[in-house]
Amino acid sequence: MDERRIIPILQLENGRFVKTKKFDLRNKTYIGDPINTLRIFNEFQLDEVVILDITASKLKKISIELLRDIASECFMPLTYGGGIQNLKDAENIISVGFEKISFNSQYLRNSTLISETIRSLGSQAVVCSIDYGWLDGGYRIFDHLSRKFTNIELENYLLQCTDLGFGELIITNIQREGSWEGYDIEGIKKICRLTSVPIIANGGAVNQTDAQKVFELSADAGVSSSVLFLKNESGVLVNFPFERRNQLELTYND
Amino acid sequence: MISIVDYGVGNVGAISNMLTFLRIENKITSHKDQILESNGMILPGVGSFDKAMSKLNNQLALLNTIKFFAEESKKPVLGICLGMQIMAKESSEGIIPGLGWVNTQICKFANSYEVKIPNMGWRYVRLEKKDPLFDGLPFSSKFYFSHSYYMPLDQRYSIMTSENVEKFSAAFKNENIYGVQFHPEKSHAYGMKILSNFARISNG
Amino acid sequence: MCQISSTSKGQVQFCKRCIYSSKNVGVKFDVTGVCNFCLQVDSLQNQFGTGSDRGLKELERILLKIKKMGRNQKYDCVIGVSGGTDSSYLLYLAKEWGLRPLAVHYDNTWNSSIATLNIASVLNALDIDLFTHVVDNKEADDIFKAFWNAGVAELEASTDLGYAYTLRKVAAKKKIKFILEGHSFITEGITPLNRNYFDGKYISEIHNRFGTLPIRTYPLMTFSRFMKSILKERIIFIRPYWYIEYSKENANQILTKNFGWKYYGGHHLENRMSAFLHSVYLPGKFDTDLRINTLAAQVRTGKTSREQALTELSSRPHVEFGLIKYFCKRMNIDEEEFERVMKLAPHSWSEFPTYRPLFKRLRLIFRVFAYFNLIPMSFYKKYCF
Repeated sequence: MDERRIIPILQLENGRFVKTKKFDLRNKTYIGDPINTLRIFNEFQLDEVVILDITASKLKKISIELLRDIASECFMPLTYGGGIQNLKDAENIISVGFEKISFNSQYLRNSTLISETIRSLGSQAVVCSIDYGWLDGGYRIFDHLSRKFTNIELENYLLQCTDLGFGELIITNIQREGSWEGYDIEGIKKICRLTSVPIIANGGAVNQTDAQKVFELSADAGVSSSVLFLKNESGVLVNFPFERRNQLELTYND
Repeated sequence: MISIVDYGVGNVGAISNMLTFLRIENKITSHKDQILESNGMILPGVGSFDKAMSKLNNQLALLNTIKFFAEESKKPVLGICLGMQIMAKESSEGIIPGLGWVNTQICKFANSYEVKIPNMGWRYVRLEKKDPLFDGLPFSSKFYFSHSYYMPLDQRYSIMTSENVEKFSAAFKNENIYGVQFHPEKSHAYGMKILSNFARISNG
Repeated sequence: MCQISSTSKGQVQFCKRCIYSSKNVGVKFDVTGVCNFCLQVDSLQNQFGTGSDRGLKELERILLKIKKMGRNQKYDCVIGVSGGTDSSYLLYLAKEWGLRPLAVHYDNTWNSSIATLNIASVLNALDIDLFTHVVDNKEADDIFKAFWNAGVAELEASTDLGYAYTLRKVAAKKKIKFILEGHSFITEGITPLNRNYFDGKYISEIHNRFGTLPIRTYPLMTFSRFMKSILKERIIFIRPYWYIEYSKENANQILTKNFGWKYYGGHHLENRMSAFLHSVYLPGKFDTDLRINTLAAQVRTGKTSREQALTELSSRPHVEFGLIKYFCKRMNIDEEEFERVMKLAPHSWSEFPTYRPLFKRLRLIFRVFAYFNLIPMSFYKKYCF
């Protein structure tokens, strides 16, 4: 018997949380203070949180002190991705209080680093973040830095990731990201059939019904817009994902 | 006072944070005196079996200290995740022997379509034996697990179980030594119950 | 825990009706021994007909006007939301009255989880749209730190003014004529000016002297922006609780029952900076406990006995575990620096340039603005004398 996870996936830019649509920084909304936001999520006793640093990804520089401050607010697992260049980076992030580190698709160019990290930290601590979409009759990998589709097919890519030994995959449908149109169920179904590595599906989540569909495929539900805004086209409000709020069984004061 | 062993492996900060939040005096340390003076010792661990054991083996003074604490002084010990696994005799993950505080072996989850490896996420557990470590835990408690290797069921030691298709030991006890496969420091209020109970068992 | 007047001597005189005393700065008594704050509340109650038929009729007249003037717009009024009782209940009432409000939230990036949960549950249940202005966290913290380093009491000045200006700006942009506020002078009393002054010049001065980052996302309401909002946009401020019977306990019950709303433990404690101000900073550095205002109001209305109120006041305010640590983390100071600044001599807003002299000079004009509800009457009474 197990519990599927609902996991906020948050974007850091220059020490601030932002929400983009389709990872387009020209179309972003400022969300708020990272430390306060995680404190709120911790008080909600959320399952887990993923933090992706867009700036660190570009500049190859990790804000380790900020990560330390964020981690000290959390009694749930945290994943960090963005700008990891070597094993020391990965180890530092774990040592300040994160459980997992994430490499994005482009890092598969440096599979030595990935293998080294998995060997040192264990596969359960190493995650692969894959951005994909539908193009020319097939699922293709999307490169979030150049903001272009590659001609790498998703299926091949997944097999490579599984072979390398990643402990978990975050798969984001770039076309659904920030769209409030629901998950790419067909795509997720296909992906779950191809690998037995735990999957966090991401892109388009709106409500509990969406999440249920993903759970039925034995995947976990990544959420973004719906925990940061009250609803589509609404003001920013960091809030509880879907209707899970009533499921808190134990509180700190019990 | 609870000591958290710092041997270069493991998320000591998170454990300390939760203990501090619970107003339980704690110290992250590798110093002999501080560990031996403490009322209870926590052995954390993240990574691979061999890496953890070789780190310990390369710090002989520390290794002897924790061995003395567990085997001679018999004060309470709590191993977390890999920290629990290295208490076994050996693991199929590595070739270096473990601490041998519990006479079992660590195995890998068998690869199959239904079994997700690693076992990652929140899982419900089953309390197999009544124990002060579980005081106040509701019947349907859940904790955060993140592991590809596990301690099999053993009548002598298993006090809590969980499932990843196959049943495994989520927690064991051997005299004064406890081990939990999950991460209490990352399991919100459920984890807080475990750590505060351990502190109560230790501090008396 | 109350403010000590520098001229206190001998016998302490307590107000006959509330718990303010001669120990509190700014308190004066009339011949019958009633304090000026009680009289101010009486005067407002009389003026607005609070809880009487007259008050209700007046509110009904205003509601009709709001609906009429907003009939061709998507929203007919703006309501500021914080997750607290007053604003949450006001949203509920607004829907009961048939209004079409736009909820506006000013996020100073220090919200507690209860605040966001409450806002979400009420707005979702009532199907009310939300507009949020989030200040850049580094900018917000820079301004807070400036006030902290200046040693003055008004750490929350930027939030208070930012909130007020955001409401005005959103109303202007969306062409909404009315702003509804959940302030109640009956349940809250009137806060003496002494430890709660804020205006755009004060904030700007403190920031210039003690801040480091440029102001870009913080909505600073300068005097000219204030005047523009009053004269050009002519937005009207209505405080429904000034006209009708309002009980916080009753409001909490209805909110909890209908919306799963949660109480956050005290006035203004739904925001962490506010909680820090009320439970740590003011008591610790200024020997000021703002609970006296709410407690005085409760004694005034007979909700609490004088003895109960004084007992509560004599105990320290509850401090959330880890609040000081959190404050230090956000301000990027260590605990030693925290202690050092807390022990430094406190300063007053009156030592800095503010708009107060200007407000006083323009008293008659502001009297007119207040009469037309272009500014709240309490603003006029507090700032123009």
